[in-house]
Amino acid sequence: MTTTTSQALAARVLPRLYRDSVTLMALASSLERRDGVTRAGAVMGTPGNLTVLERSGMRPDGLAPAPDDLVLVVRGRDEAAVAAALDAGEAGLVTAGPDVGARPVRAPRTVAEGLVVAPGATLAVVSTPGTYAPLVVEQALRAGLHVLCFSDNVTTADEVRLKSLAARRRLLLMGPDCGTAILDGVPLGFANAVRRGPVGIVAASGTGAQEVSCLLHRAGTGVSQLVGVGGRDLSVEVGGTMTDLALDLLGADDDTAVVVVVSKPPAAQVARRLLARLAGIGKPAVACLLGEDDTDGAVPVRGTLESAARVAARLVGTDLDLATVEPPTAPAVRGVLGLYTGGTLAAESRVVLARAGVHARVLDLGDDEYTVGRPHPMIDPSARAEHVVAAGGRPDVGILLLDLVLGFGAAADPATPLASAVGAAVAAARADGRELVVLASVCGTDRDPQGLDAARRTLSDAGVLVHPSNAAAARTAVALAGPSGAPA
Amino acid sequence: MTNTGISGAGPARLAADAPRLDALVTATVIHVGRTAVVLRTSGGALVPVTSATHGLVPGGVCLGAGIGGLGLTSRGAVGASLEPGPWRALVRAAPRVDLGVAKGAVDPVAALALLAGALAASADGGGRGAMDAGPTRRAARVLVAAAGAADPGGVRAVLHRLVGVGPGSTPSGDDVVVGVLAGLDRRCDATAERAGAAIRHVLPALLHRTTSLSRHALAAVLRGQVAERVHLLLAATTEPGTVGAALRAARTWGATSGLDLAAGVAAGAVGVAVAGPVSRPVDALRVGA
Repeated sequence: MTTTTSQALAARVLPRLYRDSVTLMALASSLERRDGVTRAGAVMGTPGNLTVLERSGMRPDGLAPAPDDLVLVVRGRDEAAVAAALDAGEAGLVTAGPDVGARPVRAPRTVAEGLVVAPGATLAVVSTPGTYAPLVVEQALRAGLHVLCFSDNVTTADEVRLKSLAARRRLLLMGPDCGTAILDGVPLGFANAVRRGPVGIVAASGTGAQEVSCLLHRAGTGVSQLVGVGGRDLSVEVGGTMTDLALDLLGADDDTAVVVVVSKPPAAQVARRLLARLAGIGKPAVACLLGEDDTDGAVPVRGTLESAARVAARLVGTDLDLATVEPPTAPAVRGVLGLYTGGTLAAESRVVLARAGVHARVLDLGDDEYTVGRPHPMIDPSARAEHVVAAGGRPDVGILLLDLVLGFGAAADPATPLASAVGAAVAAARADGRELVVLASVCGTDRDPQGLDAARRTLSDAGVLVHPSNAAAARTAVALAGPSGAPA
Repeated sequence: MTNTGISGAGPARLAADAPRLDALVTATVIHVGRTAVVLRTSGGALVPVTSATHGLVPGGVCLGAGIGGLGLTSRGAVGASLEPGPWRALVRAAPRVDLGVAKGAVDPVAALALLAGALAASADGGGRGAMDAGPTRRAARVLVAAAGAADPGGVRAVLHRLVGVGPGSTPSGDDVVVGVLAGLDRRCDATAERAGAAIRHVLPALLHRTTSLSRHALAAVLRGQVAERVHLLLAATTEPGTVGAALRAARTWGATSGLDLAAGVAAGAVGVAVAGPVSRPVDALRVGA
């Protein structure tokens, strides 16, 4: 046992013991969850691994195993905690089970159990498979909880029934298929670390709400509440039940001075009712209805996220001042391919490109079509990286349009794999005698855990022309492409 | 020593370089894992016995109905021999399969996509220090660059950083080296041949630095033999449309092995002609801490 001034370090050698890597990684992870353990490893005792242990301060004095020996090494609070962890680890390895005495944490399995653990809870997040979600949502609503329902594949009939129940009880049912909210400063799902401020947002689109909230943050203002309602709330069938309730709440909220609604264009009669509702809310309001023409009636309507954020910023007395990006020289091949992780960001780019008459192919790689059996590309960046690299080999693509979404819930470092993929794509195109111009924006703030500047720098270093907003990146694509044909 | 039962394990396939029948029949169990049972012959050769979902590996036996059919559900089976009659019948009937790497065209876009996918997965973390496979995967291109530059000192230095390094009974660095050699062997150009020869010149002297299971795989690739899984990755370097499926499959091969192999195969197949942001030697060699 090696004891430093504040921590103990010890190893145990298990001669000629083999275990699969899955077992060893799970074991190390499990040991690290024990009380008093700060770091643990389970590796074969090869010279190379001993060197790595040494460099990382994890090789106790005198440790000299053979390459076929398995080594458990634990650093922890004191000798007793470390010895107990090693005992548990050895027991876990010589018996079949992976349970090595980690701190027992039994997650609640029902709403009722959850309320026992957290009796003061006011909100439940539901992310069960869609088949079971209505039951859990109903239990939560009947227990008096607001609900954020991340689950998709919930029927419209269930959504109508449950939202009606929620509205009767004056409870928010955000979703189904709702991934973003910020309530009283608490981010839920995919949300960014934005300043608190006077703008209340009601959003039927996740990354749309993220982009608007991030642009408002950059304008120096902030968000009072961001209420997601699910992508179908403004459909004819659901009728905007939750949008209505959210607007009631924001109308009565003293901290909300301006209201923004973000949605893909709803059906005509729903849109008319929404605009009338906003006009009567008693506060300045903006309707961001993607793709609609910009109008300046009683309630300004804007067709892009950026323009809606700009109007909202102005209504609270500030300006959204975004840096301009000088377009590079247009490539010989002007086909535009958009590879997006954010569905609404992809939709906004389509709007900007279509308004300028540019034919382009813009894919939402978070769509079900691309995510069957694998995580959303905002969580697993490798899913998009494959598409980006493959784009470098397409002779019909000269302009690549990308987003990068930061914030809670997103990958810890989405920029690095994207930069690697861009580098590979550009290299592949050059090897084929073509230039590939890569345009992107980063949806995030300086307070996000991944760091806005760091993400932008990583992309810039890979040759990406980074824009201050998604719409700005799309406009540069327009400037470069002209009305060219989209790639097949 | 006890015998174990064999029921419903067949049909089987044998690697072309698997030991002779008599040696196979008398081999004893030295490891029972989730995906493979490893036997050792009296002559010291290892015989990995795998199921069809895992595929055949060099020197090994692949059972059509899975290793569960060997009856080795308890890890107490280590030291046992397999029931001679049924086991002999099983392996006697098994066809031998050549696992040698065939030369073929490499599509640079497919190989780069495979490389980017493997490295992108590394960026997600999953381990620290010796449990982190990311640095070893990134070192794959450094190894290829050193080998392609006919830099024996560089090859030796990189192999020192790879052989026996990383998580698992077949440490990640070893999987990367297997992949790199396979990727180089796939290519038809003289540069790749020289690079492969440079690695083969140095690697044998480093085999003592890793585990027995890894030595088995490294010795096999020195002879040009690789597992069927590696052949799947090699096939993905020829067609961009197959890269996604290959990466998805590789993610399921142990905690790290599949993507380690993918990074190596792709780096070997890509070669040194195409530079990119993944080829910064200093970063790639920053192992540990």
